[in-house]
Amino acid sequence: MKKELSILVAGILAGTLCAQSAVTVKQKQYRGWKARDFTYNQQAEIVNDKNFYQFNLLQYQPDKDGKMQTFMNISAPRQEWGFGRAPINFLSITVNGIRERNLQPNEDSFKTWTKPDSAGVTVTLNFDGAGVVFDAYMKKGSPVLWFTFRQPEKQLEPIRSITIKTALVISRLFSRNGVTVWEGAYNRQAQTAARTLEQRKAVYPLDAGDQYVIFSDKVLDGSDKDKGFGPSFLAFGMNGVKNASLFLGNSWENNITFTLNPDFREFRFGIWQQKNAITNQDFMNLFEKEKDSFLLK
Amino acid sequence: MKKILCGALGALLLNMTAYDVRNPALNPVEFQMPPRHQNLELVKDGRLNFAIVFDANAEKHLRHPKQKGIRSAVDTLVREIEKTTGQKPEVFDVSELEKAKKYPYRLLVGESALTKQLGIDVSKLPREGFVVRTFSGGAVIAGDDSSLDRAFNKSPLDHAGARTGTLWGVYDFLERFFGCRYYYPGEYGSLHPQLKELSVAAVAYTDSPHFRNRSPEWIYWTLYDWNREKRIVKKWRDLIGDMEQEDVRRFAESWRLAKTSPFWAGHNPRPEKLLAAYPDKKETIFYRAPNGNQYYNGKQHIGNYFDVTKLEFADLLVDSLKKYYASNGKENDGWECVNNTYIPFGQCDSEVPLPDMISNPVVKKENLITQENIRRGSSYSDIYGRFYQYLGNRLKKELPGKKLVLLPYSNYTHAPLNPKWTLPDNIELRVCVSDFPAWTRNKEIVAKWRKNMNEWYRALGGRPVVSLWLYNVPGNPFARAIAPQLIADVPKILGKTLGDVELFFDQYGGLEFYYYYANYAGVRSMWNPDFNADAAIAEHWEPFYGKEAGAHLKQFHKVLFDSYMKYFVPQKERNPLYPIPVINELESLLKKAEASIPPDSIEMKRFRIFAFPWKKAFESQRNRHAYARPIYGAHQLLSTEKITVDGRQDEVWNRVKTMPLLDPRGSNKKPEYPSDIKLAWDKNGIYGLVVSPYPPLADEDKSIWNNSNVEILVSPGTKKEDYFHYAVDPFNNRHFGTKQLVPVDKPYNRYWKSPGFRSAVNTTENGWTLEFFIPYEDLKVKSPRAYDTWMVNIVINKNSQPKEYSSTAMTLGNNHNLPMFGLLRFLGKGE
Repeated sequence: MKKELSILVAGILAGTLCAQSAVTVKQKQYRGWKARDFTYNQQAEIVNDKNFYQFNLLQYQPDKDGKMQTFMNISAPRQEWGFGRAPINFLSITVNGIRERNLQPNEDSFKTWTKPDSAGVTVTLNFDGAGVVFDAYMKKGSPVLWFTFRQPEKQLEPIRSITIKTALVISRLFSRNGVTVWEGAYNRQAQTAARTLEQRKAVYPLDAGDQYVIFSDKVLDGSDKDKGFGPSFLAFGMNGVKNASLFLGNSWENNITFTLNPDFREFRFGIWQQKNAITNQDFMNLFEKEKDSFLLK
Repeated sequence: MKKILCGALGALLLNMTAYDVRNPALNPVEFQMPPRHQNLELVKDGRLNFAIVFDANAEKHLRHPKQKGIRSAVDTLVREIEKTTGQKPEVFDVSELEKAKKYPYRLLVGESALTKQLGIDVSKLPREGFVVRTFSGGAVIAGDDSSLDRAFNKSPLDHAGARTGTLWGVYDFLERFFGCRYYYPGEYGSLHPQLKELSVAAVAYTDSPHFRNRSPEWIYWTLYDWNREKRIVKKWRDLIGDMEQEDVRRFAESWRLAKTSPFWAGHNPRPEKLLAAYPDKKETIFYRAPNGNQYYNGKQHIGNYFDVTKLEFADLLVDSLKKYYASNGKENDGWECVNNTYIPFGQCDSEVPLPDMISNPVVKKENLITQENIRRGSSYSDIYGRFYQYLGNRLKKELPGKKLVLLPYSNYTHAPLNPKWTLPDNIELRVCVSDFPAWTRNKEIVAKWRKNMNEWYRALGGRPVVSLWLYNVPGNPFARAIAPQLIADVPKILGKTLGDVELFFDQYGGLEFYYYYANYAGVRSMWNPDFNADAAIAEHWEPFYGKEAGAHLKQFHKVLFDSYMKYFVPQKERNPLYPIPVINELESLLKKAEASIPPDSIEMKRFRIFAFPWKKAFESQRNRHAYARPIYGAHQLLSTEKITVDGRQDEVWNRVKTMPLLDPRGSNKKPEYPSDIKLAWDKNGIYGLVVSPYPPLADEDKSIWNNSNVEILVSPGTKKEDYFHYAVDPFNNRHFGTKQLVPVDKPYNRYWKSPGFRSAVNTTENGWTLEFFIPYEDLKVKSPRAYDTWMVNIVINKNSQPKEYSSTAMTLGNNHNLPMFGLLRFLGKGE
């Protein structure tokens, strides 16, 4: 499996190099773990010379009790830890009390597009008449997967409330005697443009000065195969945002929740992770070197 | 290659001349001390060395040829021997014995002066029994023939079927010595080995059937459809070839099917005719529940329920029967098969749900439904016990000598629980045993029925139940190919509690001749429960299909049988899933068998019959393994959108997606006459549109079920707690029903009402449109929220020709199969 993935990555990167710095997108079906369990299965594979992502909109087939679940995740550059950890479904959207997991996607929900300097997918979601549209895309020269949220021109129902939550597993999880350790064993930390944050139970409010969050673990620093994959990164803007909060707990999962103004016009954020492990320090070096390509402009 | 195959087959067939008189594949007859004489060289160097001799005058008093059993036996012998030897035996009357002596041997068929001279007394044989005995000058085949009884069926109400012991003897003789076999009707369904030599050693044996009635009806119902059309239905014409009715009758004889007892039990009398005879007694005849529901349906049998809580209804039946007998059957209020021996009475084929019965004043006063009755799963057994006792005693007094035949069925299959309701000795029973023969190898189910039959045995005062109504397994080819061969288990399991009148095997569909091997073994087991079904099936593969194909098909049958024992028997579903490797193995064996049969051979024609059901059966199993319940999104009506339920398409329907239809039985076949089905919803209920652009069957005299119709089955939520059933036909006749599954699985309630349901139809010669509205209020649920999920199955029964049955869920042919329903999602606004 790993070998196949490596070949895929090599192929994609080779293709990418040949295409110089263009951004490409291909719409297809997710074919990885549990792929046969999905009744709705759409994937956008977005590639540039800096990175590549597979963004998926999926709906499970009904279980024996008829329950279904719609969710979004990324299966590349890696499906291990970070934003790609499968149970996380890193992007949750709740509009007017309706969660994305309850939605019924259709053939119009997922459309890929290509522009000269960017390519991606437009996802159209309908929360019982309150529409939310977002693009997931890459830009030329940036290793980040960007998201831009907006409202459709006409709404059948107004948005009365909207939250967008992004979740991740920082670096990796511990296991003891084959049993995953969910809490109490971690040394999470975060760096924003304005401050360094230590793990704690209470959430941290975020503001425009923070600009981004570099998530890392002091022990699981990506320096060895037992030390996980290293940092993940999220950049955000505060346009349209009523408030934002970071949960940086001693926990398996950490997250940022953005509560948008109901009349928001546009909200943007971007995530980064790469296929291979990277140490905390190496990421900081990379970030400092290519800062412009990581930040919202 | 072809020559080698022919040679091998020839050698095989010649080998069969070396018969085994105790062949385990044949009926286990009772052998007697054989006479002492030389072998009879009946066929020598390809020539017949015998003539047939019978008493042509013995049946002269009978007018119709079909009544002449001995003559029929002679004709059968001539016809079949010609098929095996290529020569027609000469036939002589006993008066022409000298002429017959030009042959070294004589076959004496039926009782005659000659058989009497040999000391054979057929009057001492059991009913339908026969004797085969050789002597130095030939052989006797003679049996118990009602054609020799001049008092037989003299009264128009005797209703007994002919006893043809000699004919059964002839078939045994043909099977045992000439190697003939009869598996299904038509040119290819039997085996006639080509004999050049036949030397029969001295032998004597007798045989007679265990069960007096071995019903041939299913052969006719299958081949001629239920309407008894004159020509064989196309499906079977295409498969086994066209044939005359006489050929079919002969085939039924070869299986030794006959009904010599006038016994019958069924749903009797016909409710509509009884009401016509007693128009002012509707309240006495038909049950009315305390809530006002009356179980009367003027359009069809189902939906009627005789009021067995009222003893005056029994009085009415006695009155009607007295008229019947006084008029020699001419004044008939809807009775079937009432004769000089038996009076069959059976409740209509319907149910009254427990809530409609438990509060009946008579039931309460007499304490006829106790908790123990309910726990036994046969809640109404004491209601029936009381009624049976009263009716039996009244008939005993008013019509002495007649036996009342009853049909314990549905929720009254158990004997009365209260010992007060013992049954008088003029009562005979046919108990409906829904689990047999399918689950005769399931210990738990066997124990249940043993207990039940023991209880009946005691209730009858130490007399057995004389007949059972057995059932094949509907809709499951894997079970239908095996279950009939287990019929022999039934009398062995039930022992003294089961009598010897009849095992009525309801095929639950038709008698499918592509499962001939199982059915052949089944009917032979009715003749003798010790018939060795395994040996009978095993011996036929090679001669019927050739050596190589026979071996593959024998293995196919083994896998089928073993899988049945492993996957079907231990559980209670009628149609369980078999693992894919089993399906693959069966398919592979079938392919190998086909590849080893020459394309234009008789064996290939037989193979095609054998293989007929399996492609679809495999496909269905695979589709079930891969089945993901379909998800349909119902359009949410906006405040600007409106649907008027008037049978015409409102503009909003143009924005609603169509529900895909499929074959509910699980095949890949797409419906050829698909209807356009759409659903929408608002806060009050569900709207539906069904457009069927094909001429419907719309006959005002027919019931909703016999006309074309649409069924809507909907279950709120996904917990499978209950479901609601609507049906509408092109006249806007409606049916409502519901079933609750938790916390207690209750019977289907066909008297549930849905007062807020609206439907409108627009029916023309070319098609019909149905619009409907189901209010949540009637389903006792709140309005769903957007993205809630319910379960739904919409069924299109196109009953006009060509008929087609399609639905939105793969329910395996059971529209009420809730776990297989599709999912209905209540979409958000604008979707």
